[in-house]
Amino acid sequence: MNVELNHIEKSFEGRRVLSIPELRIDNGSVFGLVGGNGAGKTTFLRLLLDLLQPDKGAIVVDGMDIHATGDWRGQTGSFLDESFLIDFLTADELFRFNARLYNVSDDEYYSAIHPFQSFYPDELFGETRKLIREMSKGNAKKIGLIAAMFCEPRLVILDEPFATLDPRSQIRLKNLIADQNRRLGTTFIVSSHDLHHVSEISSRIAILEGGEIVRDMEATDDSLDVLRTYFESEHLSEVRKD
Amino acid sequence: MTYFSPILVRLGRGTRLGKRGFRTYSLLARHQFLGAYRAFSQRSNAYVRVILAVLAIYLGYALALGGWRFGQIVFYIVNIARPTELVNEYLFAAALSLFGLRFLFGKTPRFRATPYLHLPISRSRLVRYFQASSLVSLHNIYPLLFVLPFWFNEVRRANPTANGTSFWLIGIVLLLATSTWLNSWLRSLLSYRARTFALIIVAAWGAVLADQVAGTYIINRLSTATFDGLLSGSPVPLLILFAICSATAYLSGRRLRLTLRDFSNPQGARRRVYKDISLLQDLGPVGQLIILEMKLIWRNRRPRHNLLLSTVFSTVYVVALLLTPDVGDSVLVQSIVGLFASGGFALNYGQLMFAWESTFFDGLMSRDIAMQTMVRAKFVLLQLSCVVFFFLSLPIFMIIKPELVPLHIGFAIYNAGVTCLLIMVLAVLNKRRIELWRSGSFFNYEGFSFLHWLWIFPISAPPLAVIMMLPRVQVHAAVLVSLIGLLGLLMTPVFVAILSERLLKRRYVMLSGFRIQ
Repeated sequence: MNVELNHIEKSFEGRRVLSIPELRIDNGSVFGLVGGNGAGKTTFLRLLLDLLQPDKGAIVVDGMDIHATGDWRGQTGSFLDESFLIDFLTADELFRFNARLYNVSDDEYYSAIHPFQSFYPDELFGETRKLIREMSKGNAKKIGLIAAMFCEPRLVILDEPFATLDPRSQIRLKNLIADQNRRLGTTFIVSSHDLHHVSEISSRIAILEGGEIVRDMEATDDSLDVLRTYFESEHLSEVRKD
Repeated sequence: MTYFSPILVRLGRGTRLGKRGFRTYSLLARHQFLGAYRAFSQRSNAYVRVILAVLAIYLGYALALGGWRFGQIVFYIVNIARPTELVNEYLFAAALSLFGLRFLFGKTPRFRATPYLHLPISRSRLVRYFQASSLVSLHNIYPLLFVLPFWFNEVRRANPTANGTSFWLIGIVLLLATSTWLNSWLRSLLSYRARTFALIIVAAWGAVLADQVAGTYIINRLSTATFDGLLSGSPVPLLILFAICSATAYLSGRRLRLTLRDFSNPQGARRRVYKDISLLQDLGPVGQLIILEMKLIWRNRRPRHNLLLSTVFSTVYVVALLLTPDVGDSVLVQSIVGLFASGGFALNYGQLMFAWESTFFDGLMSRDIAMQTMVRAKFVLLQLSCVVFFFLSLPIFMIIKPELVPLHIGFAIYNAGVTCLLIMVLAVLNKRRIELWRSGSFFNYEGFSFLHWLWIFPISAPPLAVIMMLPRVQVHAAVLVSLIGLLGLLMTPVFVAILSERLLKRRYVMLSGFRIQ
C-alpha cells in the first residue's frame, strides 16, 4: 500500500511535536524510522493509524484519506504497544478475534497462523491456555506482533518491535518481516532504536529529530555506518546546545 | 511519578538507617499528602474545586451545628428530652449505615502502598502506616464533626461522671476504627475470596433484615446497652469494643500484609481452562464484540464485581426494600426498585462503557471495526442484560408483591428502550481511563466524572413523572412506561446511527483521555 503524508503538523499544548511537509512510502517497501527519545516516532505512527488527529494536513493510504474512511483498516495490521493487546484473552482468542474481523475463514486460519509458531514456541497454537496478562513482556509482545501480521495485511505498522525480545526471537522476527515483504509485497513501517536491525530489514530509512525528518535515504550496505555517524555527531551537538 | 522521586529516595535512605521509624512515617505521610493534593488540584478544574470545597465546609458546618443543637432539634421534632438515650439506641444502626457508605466509596489502602514496595521499608511498617492513615478519612472525620459537639454539649452536661463521658467518646472512636478496619478486611476478602465475602454480606444483611422485620430490634438494644453502660462508667463494654476493634485491626493488617506480598499477581488469577462462548460466534462482528465484552466482564475484577453488585441489587436489595413496611408501599421506592431490578447492570456497568476498554482502546480503534458495529454490540449487550435481570428478579415480585409485576414489566421495557439509550449517550462522553487490574473493589470511582452522578436524573425522571401522575392506577402507569420504552426500542437503529456518528467525532478525545499520559 502506498502511504502519503501531505503537510502534516501536530502539536501538544502549543509545542510542535511533528512537522512533515511531504512524505511518500511506496507499496512493498520496508520503511525504517529512527530517532531519539521524544523525536516524534510514536506520534508519527499514531497519526498513520488515525489514533491522533493532525492539526494540519492529510494522510492518504492507497488513495483513501484515513480520516474520511475506515476502509484501509481492513488491510492494515499494527502493534505499537501493550494497548494493542487485549490482555484478558488467550493468544488463540486474540488471534481468532482478529481473524474474524479481518475475514480470515476457519480453514485459512491455521495455515495463516502456522508460520508464526516458531516465533512463539511456548504454547501450541490452538491449545493456548495462558492469558496474555500472565505472560512475560517479551511473550506478550510476540503475541501482539503475530496478531498484527498473521492476517497478511497489506500494510504493517510496528513500533519498536525488537525491544524486549530475546536474540533468537529478534532474528526470527526479521525473517518473518522479510518473508512477508518478499512473498506478499507487504509494506512495513517500522520504528526502532536498534540501528543494526533497522538497517538490515529496511529498504528505506528516515531519521526523525525534533518532529522533522532530517534525513531520508535508500538503505545500502553503508546505512548502518551512516546512522552511527549521524547519531554520534548529533549527540555531541545536542550536548552543546544544552 | 518523577516529582516524587526525591522523596522516594529519601524514604529509602530513612529506613536504611533502621532507627528512624518516625522519619519514615512522616515522609510517607508527606508523600501521601502531596499525592492526594496533586491528584485533586490537577484533575479537577478551579470551579469544581471551589464548589467541592464549599460543599465540604457546608456539610461539616451543618454536622457540627446539628451535633451542638441536637438536643433542641430532637425536642422540637419528637419531643424527647434526653437526646443521649436516643443517640445511644441508634449508634450501632448509624454505624452500619455509614459502613455501607464507607464500603461503597472508600479506598483500599493496598493500592496506595504500591509505590513503596520496592523500597527498603519493612512490610510491617508499611502495613502499620497504611492502617493508621486509613483512619484519617472523611468517613471518620464527618461523624466526629457531629459527635464531638454533641458530646461536649449534651453528653458531658447530662453525665457528670468523668469516666463515663470519656468512655463514651472512646467507645465512639473505637466504633469508627472498627468500621474502618472491617471495611479494609472485607474489601480485601472480596478481592481474593469473593464467595466468602458474599456469604458474610448475605448473612449480615439477612440478620439485620430479620431483626427489623421480626421487630426484635436486637441491634438497637445492644447499642443502648453498650453506650449506656459506657456512660455509667463501666469498663466492660469498653473492653468488648476494644477487643472487637483489635480483632478487626489484626484481620485487616494480616490481609493487607498478605496482599502486599502477593502483589505480583494483582488479578488473583488462577490458571483455568477458558472455553470460548460458541453461542454468539456466528453473529459476525457484533457477536465477536459482545463475546469480547462478556470476557472482559468475567475475567477482570472490577467489572466482575460490578456484575455481582448488580445481581445483589436486583435480588437481595429488592427483597429488602419490598419487605420493609411502609417503604415497600411508597410509589417513589417502587419506581426505584423497578428501575434497578431490571436495569441495575445497565446503569452500573453501562455508564463506564468504552472506558472499560481504555487499556486497549488504541488497539481496538486501529482494528477493522465500524463504529456502528461497536455501538450496536454495546446496545445489544445492555438490552440483553435488562432481559436477564428482569427474569432474575421476576420471581421476587411475584412472591412478595404480585401487584407490582406489571410495573416491573413496564420498567424492563423502559430500561431496554430508554435507559440503555441514555446510558450509551453517557458512555460516548467517557474519556477517563480505567485500569481493570487495579480496581478490585465496588465503586472504585476511577473513570467517573460529575456527569455520571447527575445522569440518573434524566433516566429516572420520565417513569417517575408517569408514576407520580398515576399513583392509584399502577397498571395504567406500567402501560405508559412500557410505551415510552417501546418507542425507544423501535428507535434503536436510529439511535445507533446517531451515537456512532458521535463516537466517530469524539474518538480522538476518548483515545487521548484513555491513554496513559
